[in-house]
Amino acid sequence: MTGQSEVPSGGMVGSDRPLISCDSIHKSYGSFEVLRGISTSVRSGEVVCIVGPSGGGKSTFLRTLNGLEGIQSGSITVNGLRLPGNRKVLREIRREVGMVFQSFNLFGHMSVRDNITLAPITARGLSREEANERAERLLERVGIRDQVDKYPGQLSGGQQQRVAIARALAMEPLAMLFDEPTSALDPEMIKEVLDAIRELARTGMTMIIVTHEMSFAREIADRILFFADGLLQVDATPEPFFGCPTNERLRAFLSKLL
Amino acid sequence: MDFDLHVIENGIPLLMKGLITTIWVCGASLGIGTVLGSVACLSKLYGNRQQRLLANAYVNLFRTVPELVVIFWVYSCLPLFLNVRLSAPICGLVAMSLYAGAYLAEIFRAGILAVPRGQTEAGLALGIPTLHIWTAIIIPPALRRMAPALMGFLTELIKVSALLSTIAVGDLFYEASLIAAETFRYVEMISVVAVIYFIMIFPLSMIARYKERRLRAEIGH
Repeated sequence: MTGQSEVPSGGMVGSDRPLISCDSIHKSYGSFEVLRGISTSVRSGEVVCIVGPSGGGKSTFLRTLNGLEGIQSGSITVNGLRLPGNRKVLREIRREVGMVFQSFNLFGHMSVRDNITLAPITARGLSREEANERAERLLERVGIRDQVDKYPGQLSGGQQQRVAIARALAMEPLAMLFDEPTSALDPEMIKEVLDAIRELARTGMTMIIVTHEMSFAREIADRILFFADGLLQVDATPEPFFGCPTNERLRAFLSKLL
Repeated sequence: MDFDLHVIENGIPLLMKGLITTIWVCGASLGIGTVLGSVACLSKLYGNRQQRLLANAYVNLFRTVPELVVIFWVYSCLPLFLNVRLSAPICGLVAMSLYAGAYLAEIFRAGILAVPRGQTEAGLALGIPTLHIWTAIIIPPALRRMAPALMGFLTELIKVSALLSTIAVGDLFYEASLIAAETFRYVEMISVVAVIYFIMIFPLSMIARYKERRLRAEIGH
């Protein structure tokens, strides 16, 4: 990605120090414990996929990483910033970590261009021209340069999700979080979104992807995490993960897939 | 029965004066009501326990007590509590503003709650400052959803303003009834007042209906 010089000097490409690290995170809704002590870390440039049964805590875990969900105990460190933290820390982290949602969450009353430029202008202080130029470059990259003046409602699901990816990239984040980015899409649109994510992986973007697309996870991930019952059950590279899983829960989960 | 147009013609200056007072009181109470309504709405949505309790008490009180009672209470009781003298127009404005604030609070709240949570989350996840989350992400779609209700409320506000004549605020209805009492031409004066209210309110309610239809088409139900 161009404009890397604008990324704070904390961007540690090729370093062994983790970009994101979690230390025994606990999270409950009332008496129900969704996350029961999650510890893991992600290095800069790594692509990590999270899979597992529904209700296992995958999405909740992802949403704790940028503070959309608070945690009851434990801590998260993102590029030297620590959660739980005050609003300033929270905003700082969110500027450095992009997020793509299952249901796109584009701003329906704004054009594609305004969707992408809003954050760079208000949160990074870019001029409208700089932000516009960045928006067009990113749309080019995800293959929908010609949709810049349309509204989200006029686009297909796949196009909307690619706009959402461009919108997150416009902040030039250090890492990207994907929360089931293809789950709300018609089958014929899944590929165009996965291709955009593949292209990001090639450029060395740090990514954490919650997904149900097993073959995609196998192809793209450096590591795969298996979440079930609020616990990180397995953390492995794709080969052993799919090859000969020793974890009972994972074996049961994989056997239910095609 | 003879219908004397001369009475109406002679009454035009006074009717105009009354009309201006009506518009002025409605506009000002809409403005003050917007401020009160915003505070009450935000207290209900995001306030702590006491703030929520207070806002709820305010909204429920002024939505249940008849407007006429509110107007008389502000006119005849409030000055005793505050130990000040308030002119009738000021009392009218206070009463109308309190009434407007209570209704607007609920309209605002419904509009804000109609904006999907995911919109705010997307803004937060991008690190957009709180001010811009409100002005760019929440308020524009909320306003569009509120538009029909807001127009509808404006028509109600104008109608309620006629009640101010009971405390001798010189609004449209008050001036008309004065002329009627002096000339004994009730048919002419009350009829012409009805027509003027109709001309003011009917376009507003048509706009409200149009906005409502367009919104339904957009949202898809």
